[in-house]
Amino acid sequence: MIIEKYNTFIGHPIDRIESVIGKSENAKYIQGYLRELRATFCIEEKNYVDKEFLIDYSMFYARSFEDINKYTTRLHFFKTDITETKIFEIMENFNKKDYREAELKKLNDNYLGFVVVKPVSGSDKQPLLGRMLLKPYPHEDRDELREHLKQIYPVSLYGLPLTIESLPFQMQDQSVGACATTSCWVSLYALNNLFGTSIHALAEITETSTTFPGLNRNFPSSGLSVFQIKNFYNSLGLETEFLDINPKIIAQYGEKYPVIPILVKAYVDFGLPILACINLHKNLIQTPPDYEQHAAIISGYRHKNGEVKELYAHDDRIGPYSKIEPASTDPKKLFIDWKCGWLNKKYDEENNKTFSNVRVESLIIPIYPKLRLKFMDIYVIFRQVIKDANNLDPNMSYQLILKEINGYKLFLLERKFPDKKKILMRRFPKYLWIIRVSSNNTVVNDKIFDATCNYQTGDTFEDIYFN
Amino acid sequence: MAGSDLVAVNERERIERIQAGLKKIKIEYSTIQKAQEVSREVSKIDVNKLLKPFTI
Repeated sequence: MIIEKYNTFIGHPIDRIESVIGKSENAKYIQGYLRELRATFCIEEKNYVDKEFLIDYSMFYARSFEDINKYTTRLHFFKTDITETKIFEIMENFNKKDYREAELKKLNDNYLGFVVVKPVSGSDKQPLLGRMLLKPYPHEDRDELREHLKQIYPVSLYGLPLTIESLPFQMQDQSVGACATTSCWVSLYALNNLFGTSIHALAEITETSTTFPGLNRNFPSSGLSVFQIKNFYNSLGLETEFLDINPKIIAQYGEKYPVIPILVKAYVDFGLPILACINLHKNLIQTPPDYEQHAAIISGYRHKNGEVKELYAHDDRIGPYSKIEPASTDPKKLFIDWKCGWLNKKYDEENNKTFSNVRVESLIIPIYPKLRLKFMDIYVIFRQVIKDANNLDPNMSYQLILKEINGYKLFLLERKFPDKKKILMRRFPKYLWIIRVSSNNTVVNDKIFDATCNYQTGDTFEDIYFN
Repeated sequence: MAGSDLVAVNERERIERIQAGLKKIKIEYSTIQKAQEVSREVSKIDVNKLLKPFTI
């Protein structure tokens, strides 16, 4: 296999990417997503060295009999056409500061991210899509807002420094890891941002997880169990919070502030990924139930005045930012059953049968060990505050917030409240759970709890009433 | 007093009324006990299910 030493500029309209990314369901999803982002143009970077794939290559593909290339193709997407002449012009004039800054700003404003295409195929004989950093859906959507786990990543296109704000994603590559491995991989980027934990490739995650043994093969991966997922996070020095989404228990906490949306808001706003373990039911009424198990990362949500309308998942069998609506509008069951891309997927091609229901079985949240006060502990207190304050005013709303102290003190600095200096000078724990009471979008009270304690007793850590 | 000032005064009074009500809220020991009971409840799951891999 001869690899060209020098690349030539390859740029083309977005509708021609099928020849590179193929016709898999994943590729079709990416094409659709790029259309929603209004992508029009693509630059193709041949023989790109992708560290993630290189590690998977060294741990698995290198020992395959088949002749597999270790280089990938990287596709960069833009909202406008970029010519070879323009790229060369920027390269030539890069030493002129004003010109450089203006041109890079234009490039960055139109940059939507990239997708790495691996030189290996899935069982459908279509190329596997590797690491991708694509811009999320816009923050604003008419009178609603979207919140996503994301951070800014530098990208080099022929040396030109670009940036993209995203949460990395890749499609399933079953040789080195199934859905739970990919979910762990996605979560690592958010965790690295929060706690400085290390990043690992798919094969490394599978290898570490399976030191807790399962009955199936480790490689090619047959999927991880909950214990293996926990084992992986523990190996990073993290704890995990596990919630059994038993509809009977969860339904006790229905009405206006149900468990799943409150949990998603609290953890996603903090920057924590939520690993959703879901059951894909073939027939919901059958006993015993016939279902497959799948895992995905809840990476964002859309809300109207704090009320969650839609979730977004990085799902390795569907795509990044895949939309999830609640299957039932019953507030007691909100987001326990999902209306999402899985309902269109066939589990039996021959008989044309699709999954009939998607149900959240449990949630796993990898957390820093010092975050000791469990979500359900504080959630019950949150419910109690709402219940006790029920008749105070019809315009009140409540939020459960997880916050790191430095960020919270910045919030306090901008506000007026009694004993402001005394409270700002007080020693606080590193992490706080806050029950925030607002009225007509004005924050009136923060009830603060020490998130680093085992359980909350007696009074709140601090109780601030804003002027 | 101008109309907008009156609205502001009324809003301030309303918020103070809410805050006075919120100050009376106490987190009782029974709530903590309930919270811990629920926490235990949501971490209970059939161990066989936990051993089943996520294969899809």
